Amino acid sequence: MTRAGRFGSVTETALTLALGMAAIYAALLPYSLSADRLPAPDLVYCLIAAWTIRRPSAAPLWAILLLGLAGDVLTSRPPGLGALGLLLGAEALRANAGFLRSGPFVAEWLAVAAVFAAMLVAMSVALHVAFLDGPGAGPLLGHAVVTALAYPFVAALLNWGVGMRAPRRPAGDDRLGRIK
Amino acid sequence: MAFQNENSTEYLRGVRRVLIVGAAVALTAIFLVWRIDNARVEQLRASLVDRFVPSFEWTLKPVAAAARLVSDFRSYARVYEQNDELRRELQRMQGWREAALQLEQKNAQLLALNNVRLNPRLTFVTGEVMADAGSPFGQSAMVNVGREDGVTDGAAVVDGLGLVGRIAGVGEQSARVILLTDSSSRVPAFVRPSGQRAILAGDNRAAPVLEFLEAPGEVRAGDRVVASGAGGLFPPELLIGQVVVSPDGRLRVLPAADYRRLDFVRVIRHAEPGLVEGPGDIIGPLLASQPTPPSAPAAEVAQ
Repeated sequence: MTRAGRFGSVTETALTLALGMAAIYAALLPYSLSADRLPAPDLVYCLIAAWTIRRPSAAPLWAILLLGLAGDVLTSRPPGLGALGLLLGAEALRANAGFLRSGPFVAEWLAVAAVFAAMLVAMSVALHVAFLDGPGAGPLLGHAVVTALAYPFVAALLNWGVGMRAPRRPAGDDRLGRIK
Repeated sequence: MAFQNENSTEYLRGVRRVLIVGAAVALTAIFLVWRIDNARVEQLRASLVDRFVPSFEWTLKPVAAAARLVSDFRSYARVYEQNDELRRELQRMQGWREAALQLEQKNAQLLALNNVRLNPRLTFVTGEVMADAGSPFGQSAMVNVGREDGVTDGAAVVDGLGLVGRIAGVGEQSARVILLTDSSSRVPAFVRPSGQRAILAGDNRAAPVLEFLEAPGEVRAGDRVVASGAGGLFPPELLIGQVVVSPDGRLRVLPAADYRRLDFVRVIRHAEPGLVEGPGDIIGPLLASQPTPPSAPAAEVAQ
């Protein structure tokens, strides 16, 4: 029932990993080190969210773990915490993937943004429980807003750039599933 | 057939759930280990970064330069105003230049008179900023000099003008710089004209906060802030920036270092001056405890 899409399943996972690494790479670019610049979006999360909603088989558990840990190590987040947030967020989206696929895009967008905000809140709660100074509410809010704004672009890139669309569903109530 | 299929997907779902819980527990364990044994995990992280980031460093700089080119292009629009501004500034600067030259000559004369030896232990190594790990969880940058170049943990990092941050995490060929704006950055500082000590604490904003001031009333906006060198952490008298008063009335410091254009930084190799332990002893041989061999001097004289 789940079509493998234009690429095979292995190729799709490889594509996920490659795009995820590119997103981490983009976060590493030494563009501006000033603290009052625009906060950078979490592109890895956007990518994983879009993949898990559209093609859950292409974002397997180990790929999410690998990208999360690589992001933690390279972008100096608390190791393990960022990956844990990414994993749980992706699982929350995966559990509702069918519902989100069939609804309008705005619903998907809101859900992705809400899950990301919940992840950030949970991460800063975890930091406080471990007696660490988390980032303040202001930077976190900025980060969440910018990530939410970046999500449609990532989804559009995956949709038209990579040609990744949701699998065709027999009921025909799909939003993006029309494959020409 | 259908029953069989449903059964196997149910089974797979169970396995998957176990895997997710296992992964979550493992990640929590990693976080806890990092929290408990921070130094060792950070060392591991530094060696991992050291292993991977320099291999694509050659692509990072050009891409960032291209991105900057685009943003620079936008500022061409107001080039005329900028030109005017620069001309006015240049006029002011020429006055300062004259004053600086006179002071330099005077300083050289005085130094020559006193025969002062400036601190020779202060050497530096210059590195290029490779990568930026700026997220709400940490303001840091990676530089392409490491242990091989004599960079040590805790070393001060400056750009052409002022303090940028401190080294935290050294690999063989790379090191991580925690910027002054990072929320875990604390630097002992000295506010210049009023001579007060304070701690400069980063809070993820562009201007870090001055904390633990004895008399905040004596500090004015525009005062110079320098590193105090307390605790032997930084060489003293390193310029940090200027005091500004933020709208909420807190005293903050605008760093002299330009974080927006951070290409090259200097890592200062600062050997801590040796501590003076106890009073000095009597100089020279003690008469009672050093019996001189009677024959040796006599033999030398004879030759």
